[in-house]
Amino acid sequence: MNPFLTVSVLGGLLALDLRSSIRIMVSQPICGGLLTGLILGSPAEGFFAGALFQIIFLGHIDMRGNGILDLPVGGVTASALYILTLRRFSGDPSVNGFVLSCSILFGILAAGAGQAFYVWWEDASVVLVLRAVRYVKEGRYRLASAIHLSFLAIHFLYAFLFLIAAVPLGRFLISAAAFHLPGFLSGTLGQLYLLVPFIGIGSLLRLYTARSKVFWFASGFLLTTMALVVLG
Amino acid sequence: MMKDMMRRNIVWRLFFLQNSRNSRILDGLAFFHILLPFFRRISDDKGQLDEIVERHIDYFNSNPIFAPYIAGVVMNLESRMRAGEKIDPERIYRVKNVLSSALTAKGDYFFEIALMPFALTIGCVFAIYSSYIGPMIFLVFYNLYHLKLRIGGYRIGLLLGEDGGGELATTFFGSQKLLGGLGAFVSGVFAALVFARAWSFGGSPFLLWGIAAVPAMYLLRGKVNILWAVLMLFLAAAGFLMIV
Repeated sequence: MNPFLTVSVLGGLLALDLRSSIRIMVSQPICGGLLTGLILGSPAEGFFAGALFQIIFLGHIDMRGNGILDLPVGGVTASALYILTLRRFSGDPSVNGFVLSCSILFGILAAGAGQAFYVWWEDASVVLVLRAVRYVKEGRYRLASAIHLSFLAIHFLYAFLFLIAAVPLGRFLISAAAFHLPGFLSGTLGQLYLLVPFIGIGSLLRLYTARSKVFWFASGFLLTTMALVVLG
Repeated sequence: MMKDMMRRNIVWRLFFLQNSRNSRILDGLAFFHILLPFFRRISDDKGQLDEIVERHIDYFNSNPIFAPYIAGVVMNLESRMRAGEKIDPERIYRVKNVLSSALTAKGDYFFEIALMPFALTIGCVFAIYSSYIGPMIFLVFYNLYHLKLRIGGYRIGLLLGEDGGGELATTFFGSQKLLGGLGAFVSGVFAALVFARAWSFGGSPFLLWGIAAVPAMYLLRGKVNILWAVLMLFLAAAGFLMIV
């Protein structure tokens, strides 16, 4: 099966987990990345990219009214781009960092695009919902329920269509950049992914600087550091 | 038998609460869809069904994992009213609104601030060592609370009605403080492991780079949204690396 198609179907299914509120959380990038890797035949790479993408958002809290970040699609985008672009270079280690950094950047943009889409969709779908409410008041309950359930198709289709367009395009752009950018530039950009775990720590710190939490954060940090020093 | 099937049907529908979320009545259509089999069951005729439905097709906003409890309470009150107990429909409406407001705030805090960061950070600690156990631990830990609360909350609401709030609070919110503390502790562990790996990977220059990135991210997150914060940090780091 075409890898772009497979990845897009997976992304669509994971989007349902978040958007319809099934919320068993397989859609989180740490799981979505592993699943992407599994269906593309490179679980280690998929897991690595998904976990790095997840770390960025460890301390992130979705605020009601601002739209929810599209992490399922972002995670699948990052993992799929990393695996499929690296495959184009036959796993060449000299472009590994560059491809990973660019894949994560694309994933971030995908998460933002999904958020923007749903902010728009929650307004645009009012027309449909009000029609369903009218059906309810007319006693046509099945029709109203059908409208409610038909939104599942929207969640799936948005993620599917986004991924089927963005993954091939992203792979083309990243490959072209890896071929054409001067070595020093791609080398520099290739180190950016190393920043991700520190971004995660900075993001987590915002959650745990309250007086009641900072003691536990410091305890975890110090005990682990001591254990690492003692154990070598 | 029929009653059990109806209840199972409702449990299944509870998992699609935010499917038709919109900016006008939020999850109001979904709430109607969830309770429709119940409304059909307790109504004697079409006129009665229309009357109940009319009262419930309205604005509804709640944390999706706590919403089953509210659905259970509404079912409990409606059933008692049908059985002849003197319950004002206005009271059912009020209970639904009060519970949804209170549980939205409580539920968001419990899941978004206490449980998720804790469970995800554990997963990422294992990911540092490329262990696939991380996602499994995350899923098991999260869903232990999630499914217990979704299905258990629905049962509590159904059996105890409004009085079930106390049991729900004791069962779940009691562990909120503990989860918050554990989350902070595991985050500290995660931070130490990242710095240790950075030290072994690139020595002191890389470590210093990380030490600069952590407060930068901390400060940026207070000013801009996370996407912009990450993009700005990436841009600043790329610029710095090119100059150096």
